Formats: sequence, C-alpha cells, structure tokens
Amino acid sequence: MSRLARRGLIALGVAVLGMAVAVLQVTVADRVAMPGGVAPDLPLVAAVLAGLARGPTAGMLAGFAGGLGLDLAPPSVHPAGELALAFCLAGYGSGRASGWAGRSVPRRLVVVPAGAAAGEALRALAAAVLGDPGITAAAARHVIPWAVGYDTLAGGTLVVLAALAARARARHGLARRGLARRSPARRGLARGWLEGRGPGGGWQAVPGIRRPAGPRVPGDFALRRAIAGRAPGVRRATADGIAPRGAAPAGIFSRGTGPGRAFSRRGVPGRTVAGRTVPGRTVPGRTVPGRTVPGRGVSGSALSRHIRAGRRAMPGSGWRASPRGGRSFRISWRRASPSRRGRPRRAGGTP
Amino acid sequence: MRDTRRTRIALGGLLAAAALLIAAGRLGAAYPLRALGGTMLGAAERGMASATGSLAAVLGGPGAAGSGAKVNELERELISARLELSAERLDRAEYDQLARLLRLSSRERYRVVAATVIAVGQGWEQAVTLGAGSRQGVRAGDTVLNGAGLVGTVTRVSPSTCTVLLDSDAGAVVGVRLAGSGLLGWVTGSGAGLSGPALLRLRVLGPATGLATGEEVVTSASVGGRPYVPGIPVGVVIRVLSAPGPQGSLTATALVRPYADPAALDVVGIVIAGRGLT
Repeated sequence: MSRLARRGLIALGVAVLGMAVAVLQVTVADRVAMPGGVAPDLPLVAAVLAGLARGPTAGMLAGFAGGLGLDLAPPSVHPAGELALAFCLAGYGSGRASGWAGRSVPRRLVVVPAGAAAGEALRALAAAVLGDPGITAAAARHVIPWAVGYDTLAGGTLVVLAALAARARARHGLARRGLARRSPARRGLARGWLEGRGPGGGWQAVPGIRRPAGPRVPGDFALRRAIAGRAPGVRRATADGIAPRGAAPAGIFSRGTGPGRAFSRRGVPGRTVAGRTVPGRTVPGRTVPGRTVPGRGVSGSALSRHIRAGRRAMPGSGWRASPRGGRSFRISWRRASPSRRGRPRRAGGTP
Repeated sequence: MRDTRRTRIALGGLLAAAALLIAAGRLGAAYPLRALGGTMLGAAERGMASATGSLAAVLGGPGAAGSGAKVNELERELISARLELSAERLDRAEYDQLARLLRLSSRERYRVVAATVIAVGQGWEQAVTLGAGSRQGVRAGDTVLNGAGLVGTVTRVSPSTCTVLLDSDAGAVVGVRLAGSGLLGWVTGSGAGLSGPALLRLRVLGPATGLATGEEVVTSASVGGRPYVPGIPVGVVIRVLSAPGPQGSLTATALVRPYADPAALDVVGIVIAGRGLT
C-alpha cells in the first residue's frame, strides 16, 4: 500500500472514530444527570489523550475529528466548525506538552486538566466571538469549571488505567515469554534492561546510547540486541517501567539530553551476574511483590555509586566515567593492568 | 512526536478548514454538510439510543421495562388532551378572532406525533434530538410539548430525527401572553449552567399592572401555528423584576418557572400543525 493511501486510510479511521465519540457524547454522556448539570466532553478528552500518547499531529487530528462530529451530530445548533477549531488546538497543545510529560503519570495528570481547560475556554471564546447569546459571564463561571473538572476526572482515570494496564501487560508478557527464569540466553535478555529517556520523551531505546568499548562477555549479545531495538520483550518491559527501580545502572548511559540510563548487569566484563530477580509470590496471609535485587558483586552498582560520589573511575576495573555536561556521562573502559584481568573483583570495593 | 514544520502546516490546514466551515455556515452554504451529518449521525444516534434503551430494559431500569410503546401512546393521548384544553381555555371570542386572523380552523384537530429524546445538546446548548423526522411528517417550525407544557420548537429535520431548540436556550424567543391579563410579551431562556431549575425571562410590553406573581404564561398565536401553537402553557410567573416606571423602560421583566423540566425530557409530542389547514 502506498504511503499516501495508508495516510488516507488513517485519516478516515480517525474521522470515523471522532464521529463515534461524538455520537457517544450526545446519546450517553450528556444524558446522564450529573451534579452541576454538565458532562465531560469526551471528544476533548480523547484529543488531549491522543496528543499525550502520540504527539501533536495525532492530537490535532483527533480534536478536529471529534469536534467536527459534535458540530454535525444532530442536536447541535451552533455554527459547524466551532468545536473542530477549539478541540484541534487543544489536541495540538497537549501533543506539544507530550514531550515534557513523557510516560510520567504525574506529569500527564498535569497536562490533562491544562488541555481540558484550554479546550473549554477556547470553545467558549469561539462561541462568544461567533455571537452565541448563551455565553454569559455567569454561565461561563458555572459551566467551565464543572466541565474541566469532569474532563479531568475522565481523562485522569484513563491515564491511570492505561499505565496500570501497560504495567500488567509487560509483566504478563515477560512471564509468558519465560524471560524471567528459563534459558540462559533469554535470561540474558531479561536482564539486559534497557531504559532510556530520549529528548522526545518517553522511555525508548535512545539513539544516543552507545555501548562503551570493552571486551565482550558471554551474554552481552542481549544488551547489544536491546540497544539495536531488536530484542523482543526488552523494550516493552522497560518501556512500561518494569526496569528494576533502584537497580544498578551499569555500563551505558544515554548521551541524550534526558537522564537516560541503560541497565545491564551482563554488560560488565569479567563479571558474572550476581543480581537476581525475585518473582512476586503469595505466602499465607500476604502478597510479596516481585523485585530485583542487585546482588553482591554487581559491578554496576559500584560504578554508579562512584559516579554519584563524584569519582570518575572505578579502581581496579578499567571503567571510567567522564562527564559530558549536565547529568550525562560517557562511560569508557580501559584495560587496567594485565595482572588484574580475569580476576574476580569485589563490587563496591573501597573507593 | 516532535513539532516539525510539517506538523505546523497540517495544523494550519485543519484550522483553515474549520474557519472555512464556520464561514460557509455564516453564508448559509454549509447546509449539505449539515444535512449529511444529520442523516448519518442521526441514524447512528437512533441506533445508539435503541441499544442503550434495550440495555436499560435488560437491567430493569425504571420506565424502560418493555413498555415503551405504551408509554408513548399514553403520553401522546395526554398531549392531545392538553392541546384541546389549551384551545378551550383560550377565550372563545378571542379565539374566533384569532382563528379568522390566522386562518386557523377551530374544527381542525392538531395531529400529535409522539417521540422520545435520543440525544441531548452538548455543553452550552439547550437542544435535544428526537427520534422522529420527516418520514413521520415532522417539519421545521413544529411545536414540541410534553404533558407538563411547552418544550420547544423543531429547528432542523433529517429523515429519521429532528432537532428541537428548547425554550430554555438563550437563543430561543417564544411569543407569549399572560393568561389572566392578556398582556403580550416574550420569554427567552437563560441558557446553560446555573444549577437548579432553569428559569425563563419574561418581558411584557405595555402597562405592567397585570404582571403579578403566580400568573400563568401561555404561548400566543403565530401564523399557522408555527413555530408555536397558541395557548400552550409555558410556565408561571414567580418573580416580577421590574415594572415600567414613569421614567423607566417600556417593558416589564419577570422570571418564569417553566412547567416542562428541560433536564428531564423523555417522551414528548410534536404538533403537526399547519398541514391541511387553510
């Protein structure tokens, strides 16, 4: 299928979805009697969420389609195009803010009310400019806060649910692929956590991530594959926040503008993985959540401690960290003395 | 993700399209799009309303227990009776005058089409969509009322649905007369918002001696019974705001509580008037 045809198809799909949301709005949402006599504007919420999830283009397309649906769906008595204009701008704005929000739920929960407020205000403004006699200061003071509140409630709930679902799915996907416990190669994959926050926002394999020079170690292919974006499961797993919180960042740092990190407890030469993932389990009476334990001897944790402590090298390992401006580092490996090579090293050795 | 030049061009295109639509609507050229949207989305709304209706019936919600047709029929009878009562209550002599003036035939009965609300106006608008359209004989300008009183007038019709501008909309103007004193005036809606029952604003031309709390407001006559059939009760005056003083304005203002609650409409009747009336 040609690119143009595919784009046309996508636009058509968005238009149909927008109309469907508009119909849902007037037949269901607006008929539910709620305190304040106002209902959430589903097309506006959809536009803000689309912008957050997919960027400005998706946001403005969704806003335009949903707004046009509301403009044309029967009980509308306002000029057609009014809501398309207002919601399109709101979706675009939320798309612009998506870079700042990334995948962070709290930040998204800031963008949602801001986008809703912008959309409702723009809508009232457009209606007032076009001469709607219903837009009075008293009515605006009543309608806009209630509408923004309901929009925020609806959008915020969806944001939180989506985050929870993504988390559960990632966990489930990992378990299904057996990434957590089965074959050594897959274990390598599961452990080659890759986590990065790129300039565009969101967890992703950042193009700026580069594996530092150094000897290869068995199992390190997992990391390389992950960096190349070819490792199934890894990106999704990390993308959804499963990357071990507080685990040792080792080996690779993002050179992007954000605080990107790559985790690999296999990416350190001469080191066997000592960290382990403890699956969640239920013991009588309570549920123990799963966690990742950096084990004794994980070089990365030592390295990160060094870096955080302001030191630039890890004694005895050959690993160096040089600042690249801001909070990013370039990690390099230089062979230390030959006598040291191959010898097991103690992690967290005295700095 | 990023805001590129292309994204901005696309944004400009969409905004221009929306502005073009608004301009076309101003010039009255957006009618085909409106008609298409009304037909297609109206049909979708009908489907959606029947789906939610049957869902409510399954869940055993009130008023949805498989007796929709019966409710419709009863409501229709009630509205017919209400119309007859309105005609009776109009002063006989006055009615004859009106009838001659407006070429209404007093023997001609109004036909009432019962319809249910399938969609409700969004945001600032006080409008509803009914599940009856031009196939049922509805035309723009028909009066809509329910068992309690006046609801609004039909503004737009598609084959299977019609849009009703409620008299509580800020843009709706209903010509009325006071049932007791016979003073003429008009009521306008207060629009969206302001929790509690939406009050209408009544303005009366001339001396306000007859303007008193508790007086009933009914629709006054309009040509061919459109957009409002005469004599339909609208509401009751609850507060007189201002009387035309010796130095003041020419009109007196009062607040009217409507009989029909615009927030709780379900089955309404559309008065098919002006057809076959010479």
